[in-house]
Amino acid sequence: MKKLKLIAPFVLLVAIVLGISFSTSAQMSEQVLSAAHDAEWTGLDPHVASTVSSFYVLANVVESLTTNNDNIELTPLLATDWSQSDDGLTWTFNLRDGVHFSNGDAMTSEHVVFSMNRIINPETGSGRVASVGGPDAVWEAVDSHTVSVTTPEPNAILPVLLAARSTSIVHPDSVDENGVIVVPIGTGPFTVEDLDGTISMRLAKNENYWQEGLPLLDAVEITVIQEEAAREAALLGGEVDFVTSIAPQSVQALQDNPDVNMLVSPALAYKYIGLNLTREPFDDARVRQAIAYAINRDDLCAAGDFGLCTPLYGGPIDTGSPWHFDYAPYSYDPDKARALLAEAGLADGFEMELMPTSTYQDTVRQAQVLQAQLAAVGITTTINAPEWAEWLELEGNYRYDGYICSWNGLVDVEHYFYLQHRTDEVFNFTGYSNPDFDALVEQGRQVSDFDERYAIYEQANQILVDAVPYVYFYNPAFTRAMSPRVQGYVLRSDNANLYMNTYLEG
Amino acid sequence: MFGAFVLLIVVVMGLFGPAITPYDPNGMDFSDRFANPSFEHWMGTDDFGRDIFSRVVVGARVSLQVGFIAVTVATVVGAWLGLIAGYSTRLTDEVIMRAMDVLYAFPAILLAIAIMAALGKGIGNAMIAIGIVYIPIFARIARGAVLGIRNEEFIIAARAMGAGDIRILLTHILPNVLSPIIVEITLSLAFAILAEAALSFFGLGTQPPDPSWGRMLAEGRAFFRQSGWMGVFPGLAIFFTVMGFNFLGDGLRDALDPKLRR
Amino acid sequence: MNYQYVVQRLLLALVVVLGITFVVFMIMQIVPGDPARVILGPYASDESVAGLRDRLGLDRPFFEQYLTWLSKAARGDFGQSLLNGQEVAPQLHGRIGPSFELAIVSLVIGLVIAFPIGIISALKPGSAIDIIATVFSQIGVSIPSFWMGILLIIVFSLNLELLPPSGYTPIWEDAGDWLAHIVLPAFTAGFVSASIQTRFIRSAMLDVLNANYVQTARAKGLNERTVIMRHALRNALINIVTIIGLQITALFSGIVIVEVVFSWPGLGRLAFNAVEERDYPLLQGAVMVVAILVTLVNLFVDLLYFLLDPRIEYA
Repeated sequence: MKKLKLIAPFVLLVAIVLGISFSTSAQMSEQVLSAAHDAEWTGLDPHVASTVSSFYVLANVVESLTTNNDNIELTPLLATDWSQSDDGLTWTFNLRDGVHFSNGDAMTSEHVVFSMNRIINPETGSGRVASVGGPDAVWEAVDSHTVSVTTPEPNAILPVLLAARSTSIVHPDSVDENGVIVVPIGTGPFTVEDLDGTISMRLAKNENYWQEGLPLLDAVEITVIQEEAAREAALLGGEVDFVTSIAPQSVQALQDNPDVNMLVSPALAYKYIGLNLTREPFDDARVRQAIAYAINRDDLCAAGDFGLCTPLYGGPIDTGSPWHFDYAPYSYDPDKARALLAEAGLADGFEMELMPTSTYQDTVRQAQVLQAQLAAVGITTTINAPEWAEWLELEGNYRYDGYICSWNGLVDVEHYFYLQHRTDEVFNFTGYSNPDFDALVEQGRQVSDFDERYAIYEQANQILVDAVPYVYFYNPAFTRAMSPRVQGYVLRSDNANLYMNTYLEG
Repeated sequence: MFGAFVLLIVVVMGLFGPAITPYDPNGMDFSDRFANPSFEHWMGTDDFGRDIFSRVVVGARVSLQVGFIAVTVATVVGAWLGLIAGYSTRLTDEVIMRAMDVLYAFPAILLAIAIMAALGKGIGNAMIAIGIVYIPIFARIARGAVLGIRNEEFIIAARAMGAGDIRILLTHILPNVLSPIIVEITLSLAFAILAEAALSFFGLGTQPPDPSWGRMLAEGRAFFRQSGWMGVFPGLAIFFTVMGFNFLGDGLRDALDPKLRR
Repeated sequence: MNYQYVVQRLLLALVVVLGITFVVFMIMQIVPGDPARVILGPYASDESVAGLRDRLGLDRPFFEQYLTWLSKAARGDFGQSLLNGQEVAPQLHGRIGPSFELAIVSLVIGLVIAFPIGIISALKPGSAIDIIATVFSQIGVSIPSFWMGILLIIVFSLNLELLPPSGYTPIWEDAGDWLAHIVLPAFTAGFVSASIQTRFIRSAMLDVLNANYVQTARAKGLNERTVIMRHALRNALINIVTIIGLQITALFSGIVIVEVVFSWPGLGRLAFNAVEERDYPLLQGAVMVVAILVTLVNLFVDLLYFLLDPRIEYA
C-alpha cells in the first residue's frame, strides 16, 4: 500500500503530461489555414460586389445554381439538371435535395426566386441582371424543388451565365432593413465569422454543408496584406500558410525555394487597350490596325508581367481554351504600322492619351511601354492614370482616347464578345457597332451545339480582330503561393479561390 | 556651407538636367534590365532598362519644382492670412486662426490625399495639395511675428501719420517678420519634397513616365530584391537635398535670428 | 486652476472638430468618381447605378446630406459603409486601439532615442557626439518613411526572419506577439519623430543651460549633475511637453503611411482606403475620430503646460 501511495503522484504527473500532450495534439489536428489575401474585399453582398477580392471570399460562402469544375466545364451545383423549352424561352432547373443554408434552413425554390428577383430589382443595384436573364426575365417556383425562368428572347446560354457566383442563392435573412447584405447566409462550405471591416475575418466550417465530408478545413483565418514585399515576407516567415498573389517579378525566386509551393496558371483573362471609336482618328480602322501592328507584345509582357503570359496576335482567347481561334494577323511590324498611318493621312503621326488606372499598377507599367513603342511609329502619347472610381466614369462616358484594362474570369466564348462589342451593349465602352457582328453574336446565343457555335464565333472573331476596337496584348497568368503543408488547393484558370478541398498536412 | 553646396548641385541638375544626361531618361531597353552600376550606367538600370542616373538628374527638376511651388503657395496664402490675423480685430483673428486649426488638425498626408482625390492626380495638383497642407504653419508663424511687433512704436507712429492698413502691413510689418518666414521656407522645402515622395507612394504624385525622385523610389520598392539600386539612388538624392535644405534652414536661422545664435 | 480657460479650450476644440467634418464633406462632394459606380463595378447598368444612388441618398442637396450626417453622428450613428454595408461606428471602434497604441509606442521610441541624444549634445555643443547627433537627426527627417518601412521589412522579416512584416495581435491576447508586431511599424514612425525631437530637446536644453538661474546655480558651486537634473531638465521639460503636443499631429500623419505599409489595422489605413474607394461615411467617421484624438491630445498637452508653468497667463 505504501508503495502505491508513493506511485500516486507519479501517476498523476503522467496523467497530466498525457493530458497536456493529448490536448495539444487535439489542437494540432484542428485544421486552420492562415491565408493572406492581396486586397481588401469591397463588400460581401454577392449580388452587388464586383471585385475579385470580394469573390475570393464569397466563392466559399455562397453557391450558384450551376458552376464550373476545376477544368472549367459546366457542372451542376445547387441545380442538379436543367432543360430548355422547345421555343427556347423557358429554362427549368431541378434543385438539389438536402441542401441547407448555414443557419439550418433547407433550401427550396422560394429561395432561388427570392435571390433572382433581388438581382433583377433595380433598387438592389446589382450589376448582374443580364446573367439571370435580363430585366424582363420572370423567375417562378414550379414546386418546392423546381424553378423556371422565362425570357422574352431565347437564351441558349443561361446555365453558363448562372455559373457566376454573383448569381448565388442567399437566405432572405441575409438582407438587413436597408436592403443590404453585410454578411450573406449561403449554402457554401464556410460561413463568415469575426468580420473586422475589410481587413480580417474567419471562414468557419459550415456544419450544415451538403457535400459529405467537406470542407476539410475547420477554418480559414483571412487577413489582407496589400504591400507585395510584406505579403511575400509573411509567407516566407511562416506568419501565413497561403497568399493569393505574388508579384510577377518574385515568382522565379519562389519557384526555386523548397519551402514554398508556387502555383502559376494561365488565366482565362486578357489585357488590352480599348480605343474610342467615337473620336478621331480612332474611327478609322486603319489607325486602329496600325496600333495593333506597332505593339511588341513580348516587351509588353516582360514589363507588365515579367514573362508570365501568352501574347495575343489576334483575338482574345488563349490556345488552352476550346474556343481558341487561329486567326492572328498582328505580328510586330512597325513598318506596316507606319504605312497604315500614312494611308489614313497621318504620315506625320498624331497625339493620343493613354488611360491606365493607378489602382492596377500593371496597367500603368504597360502604358509606359506602349508610350515608347507607339512613339517609334510616330504616335505621341501622354499618360493619365486616374483611380478606379474616376477611371470607370471616364471609360463609361467615352471620355478617353485609349483605356488599358483587362477582362477576367471569362469561361464561355460569349463572355469574350457579346457584352463588350455588341452595339450599345452595357460594356461596349468603345462605341463599336457592326450589324454583321451583332447578328452573329445573337445567333451564337441561341445555339447550343459546340461545332455550330464555334463556326459562328469564328466569323465573329475575325470581324472583330480586323476592326480592332480592342487591341489585345496577352493572356496573363494567375499566381498563388503556399507552404508545402497546404494540400488540395487547385489554382484554376478562372481564378476562383476555393478552400473547400484544401487541407493541412502534418 | 555644406547645405548650400549640395543645393547648388541639385539646382544645376534641375536647370540643365535634360541637357546633361548621358541617356534618354525615358528610353527603354528590355535586354538590359536591373543592371548594376557600371561605367556604362553609373547608377544601373531600372525595371524597364532605363538609365537610373539620367532619371535621377532629370528628376531633380520635378522635385525642386514641387518644393518651390508648393512652398510658394503655402507662403503666399499662409503668411498673408497670418499677417491679417495678427494685425486685425479679434474676431477676424479668431475666424482665420480657427480655420487654420481645422487644417492643422488633419493628419497632413490624409488631407493631401483627400485634396488630390478632389483635384485629380498629377504633379501640378500635388503641388497645390502640399501647399494647402502647409498653409497653417506659415499663418501661425506670420501671426506670431506680427503680434510681437504690432504695438511697437514705429507701427503706432506710422498709423498716427495716417498710413493705411495694407500699407502698414506691406511696408512696415512684412519686412520685420520676414526672417522667421524665410527660415520656415527652407525647412518646408525639405518637407515638401518628402511629401511628394509620400504622395507618389500612394500613386498620386508625378505621373509616368516622367521621373521624380519620389516616384522612382515608390516604383523601386517593388524591386528591392531584384535590384536594390533602383531605390537607393533616388533615395540618396532625396536624402542629400532634404539635408541640404535643412542645413540651410538651420544656418539661416542662426544668421537671421540673433536670439538663437550661440 | 482657471476653469474658464478650460471651458474656452473645449469649445474651441468642438468648433475645430466640426470644421473638419465640414471640410471633409466638402472635399468629398467635389471628388470625381461616383461611389455607386465603384460599388457596382464595370458590370453595372446605368439603371442599377441610379437605383443605388437613390438608395444611398447621394442625389440629395449638399447641406441636407451634411446635416443629416451630423445629427446622426452626434448620436453616435455614423451610418453604414457604402462599400461593405457594415456599420461605420463599430469599424471605427476597432481601429482606434491599434492606431493609438502605435502612436504611443512610436512616441515612446522617439523620446527614448531623442532624450539622451538631445541632452548630451546640448551639454557638449560642437563635440563629436553633437555632430553625430546632428547627422542622425538629419537622416531621420530626410528618409521617406514608406521607404524605410519596406527596407525594415526586407531586412528584418525577409532576410533575418526575426520579426513579422505585417499584422496585429491585441495586447490582451498575447503580449509578446503584440510586441513583435508593433516593433517595426513603431520604429519606422518613431525614428522620424525622434529626429525632430532630438533637435527640439537640444535647443530647449541649450536655452535653459544658458539661462541666468542655471548660471547662478553653477556659480553657487553645485555639481554639474545636480544642476542639470534639478534645474535645467525640469525647466526644459515645459518646452519639451509643448513639442510633444505639436508632434502628435505629425505622428498621426506619419502613421497613415506606416499603417498601409505594415497592414496595421488602424484608422489611417481605414481612412486611406475610404478615400480610394469613395466611401464617404467611412472616411467622415475616420477623419472625425482622428481629429478628435489629435484635438484631445493637444488639449491635454495645453492643460499640462498650464499645470507645469502656472506663471503663464491666458487671455
